[in-house]
Amino acid sequence: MRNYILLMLAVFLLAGCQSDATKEDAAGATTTTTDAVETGKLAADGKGQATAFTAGEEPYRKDAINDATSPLSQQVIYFDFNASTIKEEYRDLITWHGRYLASNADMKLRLEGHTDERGSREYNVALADSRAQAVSRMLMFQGAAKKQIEVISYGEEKPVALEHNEEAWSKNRRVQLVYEAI
Amino acid sequence: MKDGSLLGIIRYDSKAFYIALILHLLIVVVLVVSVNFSERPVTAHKEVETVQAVVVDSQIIQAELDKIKKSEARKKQKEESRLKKLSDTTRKEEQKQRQAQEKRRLEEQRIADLKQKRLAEEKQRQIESQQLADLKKKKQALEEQRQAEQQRLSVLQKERQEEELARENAKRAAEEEKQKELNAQALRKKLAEEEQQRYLNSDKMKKLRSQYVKSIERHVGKNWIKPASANKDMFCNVIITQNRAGTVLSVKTDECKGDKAFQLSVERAVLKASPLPDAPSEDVFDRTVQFTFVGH
Amino acid sequence: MKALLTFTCILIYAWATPSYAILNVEITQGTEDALPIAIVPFYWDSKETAPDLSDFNVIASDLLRSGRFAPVPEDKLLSRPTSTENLDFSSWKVAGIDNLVIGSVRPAGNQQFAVKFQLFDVFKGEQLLGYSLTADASSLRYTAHHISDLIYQQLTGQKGAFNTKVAYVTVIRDKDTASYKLEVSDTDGFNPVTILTSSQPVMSPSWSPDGSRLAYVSFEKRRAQIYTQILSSGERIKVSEFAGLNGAPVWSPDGKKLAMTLSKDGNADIYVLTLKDKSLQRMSKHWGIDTEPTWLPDSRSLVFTSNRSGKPQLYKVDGPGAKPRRLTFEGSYNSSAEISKDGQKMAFVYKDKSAFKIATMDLETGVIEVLTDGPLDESPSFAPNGSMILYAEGQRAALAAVSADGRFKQRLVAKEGEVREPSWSPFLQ
Repeated sequence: MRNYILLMLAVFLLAGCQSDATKEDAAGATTTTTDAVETGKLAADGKGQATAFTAGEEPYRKDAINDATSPLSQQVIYFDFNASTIKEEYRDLITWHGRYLASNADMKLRLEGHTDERGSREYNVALADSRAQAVSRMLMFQGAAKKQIEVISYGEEKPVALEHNEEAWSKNRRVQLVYEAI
Repeated sequence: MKDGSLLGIIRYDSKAFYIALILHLLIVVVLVVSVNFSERPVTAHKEVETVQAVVVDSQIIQAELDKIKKSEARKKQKEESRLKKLSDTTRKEEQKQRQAQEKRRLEEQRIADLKQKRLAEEKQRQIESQQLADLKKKKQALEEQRQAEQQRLSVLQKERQEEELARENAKRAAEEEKQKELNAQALRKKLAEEEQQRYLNSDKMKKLRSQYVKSIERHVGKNWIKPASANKDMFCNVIITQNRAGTVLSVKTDECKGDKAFQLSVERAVLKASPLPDAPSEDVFDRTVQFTFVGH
Repeated sequence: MKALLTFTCILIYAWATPSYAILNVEITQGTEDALPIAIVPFYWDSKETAPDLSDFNVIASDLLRSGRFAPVPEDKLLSRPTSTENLDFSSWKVAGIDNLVIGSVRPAGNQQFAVKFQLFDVFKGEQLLGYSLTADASSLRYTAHHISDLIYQQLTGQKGAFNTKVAYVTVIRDKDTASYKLEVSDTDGFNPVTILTSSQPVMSPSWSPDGSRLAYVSFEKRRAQIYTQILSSGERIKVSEFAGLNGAPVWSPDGKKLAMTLSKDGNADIYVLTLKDKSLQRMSKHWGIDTEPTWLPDSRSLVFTSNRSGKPQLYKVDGPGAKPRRLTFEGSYNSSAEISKDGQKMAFVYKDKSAFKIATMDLETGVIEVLTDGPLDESPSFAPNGSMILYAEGQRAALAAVSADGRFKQRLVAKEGEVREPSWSPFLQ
């Protein structure tokens, strides 16, 4: 119940937050059931709701990444068009994943970079690569080892949304954190 | 030389001095004597010769006369013996003469024979030389005949040349006449055209002509589909003839710098544009129109 | 004497002829219209049963697709002459049809056909071309493309490229899985042949200049690798699998090198791999993204996309170590360049306010001409004669063609799934 309230609060906060972000992302953010919304929750949470994260006994326990109640279960980071800078709202999420990797040295993470369909394909591969590299650098800053991280860039080749509109594009501009099966 | 030194020499070699002195004296003596000898004999010789000549002549003549008398007697005697002796020898001499005569006769005979023979030979030679002369004469006749023929030919040729020249002159004269006529025509034409041009260069005509050219340009341009290969370095000059109605009668590509497709496209353009726009005035119309297509 | 006289006459004539006597008209403004041409369906010149001659319809569609021709639709043909005897140009002239093509096919024994065709200039009333070609049933279509090439060359002055190929990538998605295919087909989309099938992305096909091989990127090992593949045998060689990016392979015009994008030294930069000795040369060094190299005809200079200015723009580098020079300043997104074979034009993706379009730049003057309307056009590829550009319409996930002057656009035969990244082959033997 408490979680639900928090979620609602987060959605509200996110809406406010997103209105400051680019117009392109606005459509995606207001859709309640998508990954983007969940991302929003964590981003919003990250600022002042550290208690939410630390409610569990062992925040960086190995299976936390598969625990839907753990923020570590959020494994997608979204970007603005033609940008590879990590938006403010994802910094905490990446920090937590970095600490998780530092705490679980045997864990391996694959960062898959993606873009939306706009622009040229090979440029998008390079753009998606720099997105994934940006995430990788931040993870290592938090203690992850280089050998734990693998980067792969797919550019616009593997969209999650196939429509040709901003809503779909905002979902496709992403870096996916894929943990190798334990 | 000083007396002192002469004395010195005498003292030094007295012997030599004396020998020299004696020699000088000797020379003086010889010279005086020789002069005397040379004058004396010349006078003596003259006197002797004159006296002797008279004495010798009178003596010799007498002796000589005697001598001749004796010699003539001796000669007469000698002649008589000689004549006697001669009659003896005469017979021998006659016989000898007869033999010689015979010999001479034979010799003469031989000479006559020889003469005869030489005469025959001479005659033969004369015949031959006659024949030779005949031949020469014949040859000469032939030569003369040939020369005459040549003469005749050269005359003929000369006549022909003269004829030719006359013809040539006539022709040249005709051509010059024609040329003069042409020049005159050209001049007349030029004057007429200058007059025409003055008229055509009037502002009104200029405007009409430029309107006409523009309308042709627009009309043909619309019908010209440039090929893909056309570029600014390509151009084609096409000369067409048209009738008064603007119908294109002939198309000739003049200078053309461009590929086959470009040339085809411009030729097609003028043909497709037929009939060309109507000329706004008879005076701006021309049967021949030159188009310059530029690839651009 | 006579010659002198003639000369004098000419002199006098020239002197006496005023300049206005001939009207001089200079024409610089032609039309950019397509050339009207009537292609009479080829007829079967035999009493034997006629084979399917529909392959000859490609002549009209080839010429139409080039944008240079306006073939008369078959149902609008005035008449269907079969030989020069029953040919009457006057009616075609009236209809304003510049050119006429007639042709016939008859058996030539040994399961071969003799294909005869003639091209006429209607206005001149002349035959421009006349050929007799031999083909078997399987090569009728190629013969028809060849006839298109001959007509195209005669009337446009450019070598025809209708008998060339195009490589492209198709994707068929099924819920969570996808099937990526690298295919090669005729330029009109017929005769597709699959070169590679993979469940992982396949990208960026590039033809070797002799048309015998393709280079491409495959993610089949869950990471980007560059391969070259011999089309006739299917044999392939892995040429690049460095850590990080291995992308955008492009064969040099001399066939000796592959330009590519690698990130092994940090981030995306341009490298050149010499195929013979596998030596690698770095062509760009910048913290920004440098990718999508394309060669200039000298096989030394490259144009590439870089976001070093903040947004993707095109740059030219004249060899290793040279300082890249920016080519595009107009527009917020210019990328994915390809240079025409003659080195005069560059086609690229150009974004104006909202849409991604295909544009060309005259490399001499820098003038940009936008050819398409977008909104998501990408991957432009020049025909080997430079007359057309194939590209992908991202919105439709299908291929389209535009004439290099932008006058004519055509969407190509739609295929199942998404079609993308067309790459036009060089002239083939």
